[in-house]
Amino acid sequence: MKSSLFSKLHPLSFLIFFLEALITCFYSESAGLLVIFICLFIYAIIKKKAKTLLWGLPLAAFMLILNPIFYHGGETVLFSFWGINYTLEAIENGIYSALLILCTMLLFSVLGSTLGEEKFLYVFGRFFPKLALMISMIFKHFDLLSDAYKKTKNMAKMNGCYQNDTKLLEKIKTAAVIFEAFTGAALEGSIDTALSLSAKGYYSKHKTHIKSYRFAARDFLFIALCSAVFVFVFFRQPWVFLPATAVLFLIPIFFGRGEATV
Amino acid sequence: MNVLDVKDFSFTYPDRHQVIHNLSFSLAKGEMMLICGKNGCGKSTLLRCIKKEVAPKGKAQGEIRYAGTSQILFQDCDKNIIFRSAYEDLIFPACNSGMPEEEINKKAEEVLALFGITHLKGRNTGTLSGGEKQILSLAALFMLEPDLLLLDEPLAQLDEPAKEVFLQKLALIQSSGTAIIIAEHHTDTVLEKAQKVLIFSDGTNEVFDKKALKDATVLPNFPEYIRLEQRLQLPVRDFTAAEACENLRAVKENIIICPLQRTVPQEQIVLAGENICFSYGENKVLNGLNFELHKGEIAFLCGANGAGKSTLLELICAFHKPSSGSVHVHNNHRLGYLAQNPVFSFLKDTLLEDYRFVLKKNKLPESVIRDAFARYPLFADLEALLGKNPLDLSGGERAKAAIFKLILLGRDIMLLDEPEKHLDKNSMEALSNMLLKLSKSGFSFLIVSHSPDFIYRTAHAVHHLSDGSITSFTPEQYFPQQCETSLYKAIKPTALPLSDVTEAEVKTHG
Repeated sequence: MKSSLFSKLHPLSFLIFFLEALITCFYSESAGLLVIFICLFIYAIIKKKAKTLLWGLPLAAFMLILNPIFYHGGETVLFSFWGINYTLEAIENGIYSALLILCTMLLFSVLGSTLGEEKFLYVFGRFFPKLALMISMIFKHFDLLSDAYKKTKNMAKMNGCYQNDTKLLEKIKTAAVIFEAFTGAALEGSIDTALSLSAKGYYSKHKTHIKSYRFAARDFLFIALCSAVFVFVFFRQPWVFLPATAVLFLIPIFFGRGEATV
Repeated sequence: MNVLDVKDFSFTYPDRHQVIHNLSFSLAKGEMMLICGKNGCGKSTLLRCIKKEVAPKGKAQGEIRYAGTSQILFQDCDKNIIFRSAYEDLIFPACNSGMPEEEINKKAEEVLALFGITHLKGRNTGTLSGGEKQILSLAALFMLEPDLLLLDEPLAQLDEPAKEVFLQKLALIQSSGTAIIIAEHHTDTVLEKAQKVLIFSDGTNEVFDKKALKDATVLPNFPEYIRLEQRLQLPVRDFTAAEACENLRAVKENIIICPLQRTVPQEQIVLAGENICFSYGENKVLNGLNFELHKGEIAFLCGANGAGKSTLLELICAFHKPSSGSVHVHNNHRLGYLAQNPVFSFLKDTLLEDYRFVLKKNKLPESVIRDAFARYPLFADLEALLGKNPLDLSGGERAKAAIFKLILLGRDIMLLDEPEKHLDKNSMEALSNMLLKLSKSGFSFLIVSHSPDFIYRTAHAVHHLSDGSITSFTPEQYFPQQCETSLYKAIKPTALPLSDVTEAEVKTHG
């Protein structure tokens, strides 16, 4: 697969776009959010990340239901139930909050995956190099931990450790044994990492911090394009800000297709 | 000038187990020393003692001095990897050394191309196979040009082409003045290049110059061609394959080398895979693959690093779901699995507790253990180890203990993932013999392995995995056309037939 323009961009230009998108999200009203949601949803399908919504939907539904119950402002009373007035404005507000949650989730999961952990850590590492390294290692440890858990559990399953656990207490006991075994294995892994760190000279004083991305002409062009569109988002007329929002969120669909990794 | 000086060095672990006894040697620039010895003899301990940053806990006496920089490669491939990003892992030692940025990037490209792993650059290390991790860690060591390179079984997980490439690069870095210490069971090619050999055996450790090696009383893990020469009582002076060929040519007319005797397994199919497809994300690993395993058969799964061998075993165990196709286990046969890292096989602190725990979970009586010992005498030596922690066992013992557990649970199809990985030659032979005996009792095996010698000794069938599908061979078709054993490779010029030293009978006439 061809690599996308996004993957060729400097992390900083991507970050600028990401922030602009985020601000637009929070600035937009319901109509704008709907446009954003549709664009991001299409992009999520392209990127095979639409599953994120499964996590977001219950939360959004919760907001939708809860908002009218606790918020009684607004003038258009639709109906009353148990002495509570349900207003159109409250329901609108609920829809807005639900959409905002879904859009933010999509934005982070879809564009976040396009940015990639490496680029994220790069941007972060420019300001906090040691912390960035630590985060990177913590990520690796999550991997190690989940890997150790999966492997131990798989082995236990293959050895028939679960098949006769009918009672809850037995299930908990087996889980405890497996937990003990895999944490032991994972802890051993962390000692190994510590050894490996010192073997690779991590504690030396003169280190090089790699800046492996360069600002190219396409970065300037990209930032100019995004920012030009971004300005129009703040116009009051719907026939200006709606198309501007749409264009801003169509950018990932045009430029973000293809391989994400560098 | 010497790069490394070791003087009267001894090392004792906190449990009073002394592994290194009064060791003295020195290494000059560009010299290579090979460390030979059984599993658990102290090879890794010595390497870690030399690299002071990672020295093990225990009582060290004597002196180790070296000038300049050193790099170490650990035995366990997971130990060498720190980051999620493969590229970050590659450049990490170079970054720590303070190498300028442009140089790091240039060197990284060079090294990636040199090892043929440019495709790994953007990968997550969690998705790499064991072999790929190993090559990546080796490549990272080549980013710097250290004065001393310490390698702990670097070849164990590499496929044949990767081994060749690695040894070439090693020669290159050696010629640029790096001194190398390498602990390895696959001594065949390393021994020729080494100037010194350190032999660990039964509580002694002695360093021999290559010329003085013939005075050594024991030669653990030495190449098969040398064992053949010893068996034929031929004079060994240089310890090279060329010398072995010369020696063998002189007596060629008088020796008979019988090919390995193989029993043909029964025809009954116990396990079959049909049209299996599988991908990791967008990376297609298996592509419409078919295989069959017969009762009493030992089938091997071979292929390059990252070809999808372990993945196939995991699919058979239903840890992942194939995207299409299916696996059939016939007639109430039961699957047992041994993962590449045996750490995950054991859940309890002692072997006996672990056996008891799984037996209880499977609603089997404890007497099964006694019965199994009585029925399979080849596991008798495990009885003495029942009180030990599984993680304290040697590699060979651990493999045996894990296989015994599968027998206790009545598993008659065993899927083993590189069980011979870190075993010395004797343990590997013992494992091979054990598998052959078990196969005669009706156990079937599907084994992932990189060791041609192990496969040659043990296999009834070889399935070669490449481009997501399998090509099946009989051992006669596979060796030597597709793959060469270390002995065959060494004595190829003599045109002697393919054989195995310990199994094949060598008769001398007159």
